[in-house]
Amino acid sequence: MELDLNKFRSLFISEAEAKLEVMRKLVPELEKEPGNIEIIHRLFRASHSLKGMSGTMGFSDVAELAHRVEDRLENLRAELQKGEQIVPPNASGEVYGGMSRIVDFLYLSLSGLEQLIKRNISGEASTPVKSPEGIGVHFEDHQEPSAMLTPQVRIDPAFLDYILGSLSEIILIKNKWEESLRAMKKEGGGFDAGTGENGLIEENEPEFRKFNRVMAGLYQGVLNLRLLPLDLILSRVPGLVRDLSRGKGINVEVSCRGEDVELDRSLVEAIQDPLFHIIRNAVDHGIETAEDRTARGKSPTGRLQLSAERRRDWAIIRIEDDGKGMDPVRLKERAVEKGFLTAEKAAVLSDAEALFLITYPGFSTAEKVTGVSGRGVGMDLVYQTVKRLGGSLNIGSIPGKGSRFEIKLPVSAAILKLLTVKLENEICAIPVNRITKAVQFEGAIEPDDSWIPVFPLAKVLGWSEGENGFRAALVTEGRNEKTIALGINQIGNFMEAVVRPLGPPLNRLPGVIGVIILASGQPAFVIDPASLI
Amino acid sequence: MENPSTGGANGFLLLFQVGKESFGIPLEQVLEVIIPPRLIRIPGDPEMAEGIIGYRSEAFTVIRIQSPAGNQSGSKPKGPLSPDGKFELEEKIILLNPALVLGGTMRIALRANRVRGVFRRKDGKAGAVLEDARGVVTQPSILEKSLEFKDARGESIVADLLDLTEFRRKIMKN
Repeated sequence: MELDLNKFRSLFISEAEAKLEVMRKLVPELEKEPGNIEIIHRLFRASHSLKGMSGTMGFSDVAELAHRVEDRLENLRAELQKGEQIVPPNASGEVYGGMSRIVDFLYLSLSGLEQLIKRNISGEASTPVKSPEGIGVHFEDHQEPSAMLTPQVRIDPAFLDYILGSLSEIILIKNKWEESLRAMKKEGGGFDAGTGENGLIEENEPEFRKFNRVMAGLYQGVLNLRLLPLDLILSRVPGLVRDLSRGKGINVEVSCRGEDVELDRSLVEAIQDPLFHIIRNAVDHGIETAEDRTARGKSPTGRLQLSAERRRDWAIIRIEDDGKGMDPVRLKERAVEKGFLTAEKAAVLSDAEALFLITYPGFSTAEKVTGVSGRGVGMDLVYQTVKRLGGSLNIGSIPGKGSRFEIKLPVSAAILKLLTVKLENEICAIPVNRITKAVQFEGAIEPDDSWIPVFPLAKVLGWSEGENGFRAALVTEGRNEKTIALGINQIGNFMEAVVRPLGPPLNRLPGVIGVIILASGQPAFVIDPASLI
Repeated sequence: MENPSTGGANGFLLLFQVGKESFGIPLEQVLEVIIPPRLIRIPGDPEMAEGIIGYRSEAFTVIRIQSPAGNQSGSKPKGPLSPDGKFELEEKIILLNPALVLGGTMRIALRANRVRGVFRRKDGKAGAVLEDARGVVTQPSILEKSLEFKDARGESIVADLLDLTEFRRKIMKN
């Protein structure tokens, strides 16, 4: 009897990913606590489940590899239960066996399992399954006892996107209704306009407010469904660093914190490569060999710390190493050598600004290109990606001591709280979380950079030639968190709107996050001061 | 199968004028022709785009057409203006069909100083002819990607057929 197992494919994918995720977390733990038999039990169960599911789906190569993992773990478990000593993975000298080999094998197997599963799912290695009579598909025999704590419903991400798109349209319609209501109120409209009573308006306003509350709750609920923990990325870092550091012959200890911080799934997917690039740079160019480190009075093992925290609508991800750091003087020299800056401009650059030179396309201070980094391509892409996601990048470094990269990202990619502003004859919007303060002046004010430098926003956007007086200003942060003010004509309204990304040919406009549609139907650009000035 | 980029036999073409140049695009690649809403300036004034407009809750980028002769659509003849003086009465915005033309990823529009109308191309034994909505037939000669013909008033027109695949490549490269 041939079974059609295609209908179980998506279930297999999500279950397999869950098991692999468990194993990714447990292997580094096993490395730190080689005698912890509970970790081995859990690894064994995850591997056993994966073997069973893969076998049922006819993915025999996956099942075979999972079986070999089981065997190794079973042997290890047996040794521990007999009370035998397990050699820790970081043992020095001639002893390089025991746990170190097992951990190596586990890391390699994890990578192998991922690849084999992907190949089988894409159909490169799958064949129809002939099952013996009477045996159907059953996953429940292979579940870990505590795997299903509560019944869960799996949702196709495409369907979530569809719901979010529909809710966005409803919000637009709601905005138009509100605008009409305000206009009617101003004109004193309503059925009883002749008597001056606004019965229609007053009757409907509470319902609109209720509608707003319900919509806001529903929208936030759907946004929350899209959130994924950063752990999905951070759990891969120990394995990545292990491979890289082995290749370079250095020792690096990795610590991660804040794995439960959640971001919109599109941001989690998009930020992985930039994060991994920064980590690769830290290992390839930052952390020194054990001999160099000892000579400098540092511990022979380098340290790489990743942390994530949530601050209101923002997620802050930090990558810090205690390597050799970056020298602003050397960066400026390199910039002049390569023609990015003149010597005069380099001379007035602050150290903080000099560190940002590494985000310029083609800039690299690497003496040689390795297989990992050094071409001057990666940090430019990191910066552009972070900007495109509506975030910001901060770089700090002390020569000889280490470097710190801080990526700030909005938690939600879809809807933003914005403030509209009027410039000349145009309206723009700025995310509220970028604004420190908004100030309205009596009469016109000329630009004054004696305290906070003021930049007429119309001029920065190329909409005005002169330094015209402006009547209001927004205090915000420019590049590298420098406090600046943007001169504008008028402060508008607060609003929530879906920011739509701009497609070609406008997808690389500097300082523009996207575009919104105002209640009037007119589009307005959403500006990011941090990447404009 | 007809080649949509040339209007094909029995295909419909929308002919329009930009500056002194005339252009044609297959009708199926046109989403809608509308009266120009307010054109919003783009920060930095990029070379390829004139501005953006809002239509049915979407933002469309109005592209400057680079004609083969190198004339940009900025040089337009003066025509009668709307009562508020903001645009010429004959000016139209042509919204391109994103699904058919642009892979669904771009919202692009063209600004036409004048839309000449929809012509149907008929290929017959005597060669191709263009027939307008009133059934008036003119005899064009196909010169590579251009159509040369006389309209109902006897005015001679040479219209370049816009190759929107090439157009898309230029936009993506920008």
